[in-house]
Amino acid sequence: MQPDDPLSRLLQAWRQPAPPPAPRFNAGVWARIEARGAPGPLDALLRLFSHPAIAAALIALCALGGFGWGVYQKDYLQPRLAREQMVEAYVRSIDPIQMMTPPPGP
Amino acid sequence: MKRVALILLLALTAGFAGYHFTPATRTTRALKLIIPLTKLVPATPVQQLDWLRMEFRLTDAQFAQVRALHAAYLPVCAEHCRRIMIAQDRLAELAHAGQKDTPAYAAAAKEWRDLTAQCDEATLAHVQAVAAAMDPAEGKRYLEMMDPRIARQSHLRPLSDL
Repeated sequence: MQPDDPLSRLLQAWRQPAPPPAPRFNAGVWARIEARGAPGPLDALLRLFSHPAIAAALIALCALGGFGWGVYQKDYLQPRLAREQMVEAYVRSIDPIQMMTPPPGP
Repeated sequence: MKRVALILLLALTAGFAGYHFTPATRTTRALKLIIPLTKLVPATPVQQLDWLRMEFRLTDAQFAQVRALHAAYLPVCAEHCRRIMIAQDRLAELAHAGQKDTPAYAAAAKEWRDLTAQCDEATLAHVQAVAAAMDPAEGKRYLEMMDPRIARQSHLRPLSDL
């Protein structure tokens, strides 16, 4: 192909015409942006746990919570329930009226 | 996402570990030894007395006295129970035979009421005797604990006020 070749000149001058814009292109873009919306709770959680200090604090809090529940359950709830059971059994053993009624079911 | 799952897993594990390694107090350990923690296994008389001793901080002398009172009262209690059951059966028989309006039914009902009143009196007397064997403050606490459980219509004032 020679530079002075008319075909060559034509090809160099040729530009592909821009495609016509899609109908309602802008509206479509905004609709997609709005559909994505604000970040959800999961995104917030993911961002929160990206801080090692916060993750460590959560783990420590859970350990503390477990310990607190253990103290409450083992030192307060269990003895209280056990005491109630024992008082009930004791009263039943000394009170003929209650002795004749069946104990409440478990 | 994996990181969040790992952190949550670690947090849960930490919570379980925190619960598991909570030490039980001496009182709880003692209670567990004495008290069956399920209603399927009723407390034996020995366990009941052990509990009384621990709960009301009985000295050896007080405990011996309470144990003697308990042992002396149990046959009385069983006899009351037996007689009330016989009276109840008699009432049920008469009611079943359609004799609710007869003098026999009225007499059986009176006998049942009398027996119940005797039983109440005996129970209250026993509870007060047990309370008297304890230190005054503990005796008062014992009566307050027993009061709502055995209070029927036979006494109008709380046991602890008697």
